[in-house]
Amino acid sequence: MLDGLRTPLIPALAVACLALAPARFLVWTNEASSVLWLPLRPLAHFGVAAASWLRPPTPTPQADAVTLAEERDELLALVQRLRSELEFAHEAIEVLEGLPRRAEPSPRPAAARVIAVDPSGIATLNVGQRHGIAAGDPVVASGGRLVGRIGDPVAVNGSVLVPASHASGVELRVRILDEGGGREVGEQVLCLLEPDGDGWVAEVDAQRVAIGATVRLDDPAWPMSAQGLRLGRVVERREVPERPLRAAIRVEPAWSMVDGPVLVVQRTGTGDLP
Amino acid sequence: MNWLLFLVVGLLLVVVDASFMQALRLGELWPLATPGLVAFVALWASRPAVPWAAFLLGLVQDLSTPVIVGDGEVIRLLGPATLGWLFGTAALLPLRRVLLRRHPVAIGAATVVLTFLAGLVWGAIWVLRGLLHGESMPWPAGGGVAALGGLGLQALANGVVAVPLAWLLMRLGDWWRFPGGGWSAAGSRRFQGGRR
Repeated sequence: MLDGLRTPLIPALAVACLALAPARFLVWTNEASSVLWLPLRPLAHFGVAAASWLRPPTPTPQADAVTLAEERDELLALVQRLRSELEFAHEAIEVLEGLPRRAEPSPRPAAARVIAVDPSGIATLNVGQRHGIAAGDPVVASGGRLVGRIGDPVAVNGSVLVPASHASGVELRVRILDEGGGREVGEQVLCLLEPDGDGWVAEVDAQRVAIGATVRLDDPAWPMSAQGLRLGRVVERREVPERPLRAAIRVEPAWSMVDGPVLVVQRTGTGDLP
Repeated sequence: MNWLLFLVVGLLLVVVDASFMQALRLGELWPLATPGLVAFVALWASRPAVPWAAFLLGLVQDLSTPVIVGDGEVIRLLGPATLGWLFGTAALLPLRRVLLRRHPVAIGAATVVLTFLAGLVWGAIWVLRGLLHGESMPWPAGGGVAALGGLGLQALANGVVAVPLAWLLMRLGDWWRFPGGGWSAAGSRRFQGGRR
C-alpha cells in the first residue's frame, strides 16, 4: 500500500507545524480523537476491567480524604441551594399574601424570578409557556402592587415582562383614591394615565386629587385579576394655567426593579409550576 | 508488509496501552507496548514502509494522548509520537544489519533506542512550545537531568514489554508479508527472515 511511496516528508512537516501551533488551533484534535476512539472504546472497557482484576486499586488515606472533601463540598452546595430555594419560596408567599381577595375564582399564581433586565427596563422572567404563562398575564409584586404584564412568553423560561409604566403609547384607565390611614377618605377619580418615561402623567380635576393619593388599575383591557391592584401614587401636582379647574399630575410606579426579583404571575394558561 | 494486519495490531496495542498497561505500572512508570510494534516493523518491514508505519501509528498514539496546555485546556498534541517514532525508526534502519533481529531481545533493545530517541523529540517539542507560547514543561520538578533519567527508565520499561510482545508478533509469521522473511510452514516455526 504505502511501501512504494517515499518517506512521509510533507505530512511530517505538517505535523511539525501543528506540534508548535498555539493550543487554540488544536482544539479540533479532541473531536478527531473522539472519532478515532469511537470503535475502540468497548475494547478499552475490557482492558480497564482486566487491569482492575489483575491489580485492584488500593484506597489510600489521601484518597479517602479527597472523597470526604468532595462529599463535604457537594453537601455544602446542596445546603446553599436549599437555602436559596427557601428564601425564594418565602418571598413568593409574601407576594401572594399581599394580593387582594376576590369573589371570583382567582387565576392560579406562579412564582417567578427576574433573571435579566435590559437598559430600557424590560425584564425577563424564569418562567414560560410550559408553566402556564400566556401573553397578557398580569405580574404582581408584594403588597398587591401591579408590575406589568407578560409581553412575549417563551416555551421554557425567558418570558418578557413589560412593566406597566413601559407600555409605550398605551394609556391606562385608573382610579385615584385618597387612602389616608389605610382607608378611603376621599373621592374616586377615574382618569387616563399616559406613559412618561418611568411613570405616568394625567390631567385631572384640580379639586379632587392630592399628592400622595393611591392609583389603582381600573382598565377593562387588562384581565379581571389585575383590576384594583396598586399601580403607583401621585407624586407631583401642578396647575394648568390655561385651564384653571384642571391639574396636571405625575404618578410614580409602586414597583421598581430594585424592590426585589421575586414576583407572581397570575396565570391564565395551564402548565406546571417552575 | 501487510498493512491491514499492522493497523489492526497497532490499534489493538494503542487500546492496550491506554487501558490495560496501567496494571503493569511501577510508581510513575507506565510501560507502553506500541513502541515495541514500531521497533518490530522498523527491523523487518521494507525501508520505504518503515517511516510510513511509524508516522501512522504515531499519529494514532498522539490522538490518544490528552495533554494539558496553557490555562488548563486539554488537547491532543500531534507530533511527540508521530515525529518521535519517525526519528527513532530513521535511526534504527542502519542498525538492522548489526542486530540479531530474529531474536525478541533484539526487538526489545531496538525499542529502548526508539523510545529514548522519541523522548528527545518529545522534549524538544515541549521546549519549543515553552519558548513560543510560554507553556510549562510537562516533566516534574528536577529539571532536564531528572527528565532524562525518567526517559531512560521509560525506555527500559518499554523494552522489557517489547520482548514478549515481539515473540507474539513473530508467531504471526508469514501473515506480516515482510520482504524476504517468514516462517516455514512445516518447520520449527522459527523466524527465518533474511537480512537486508
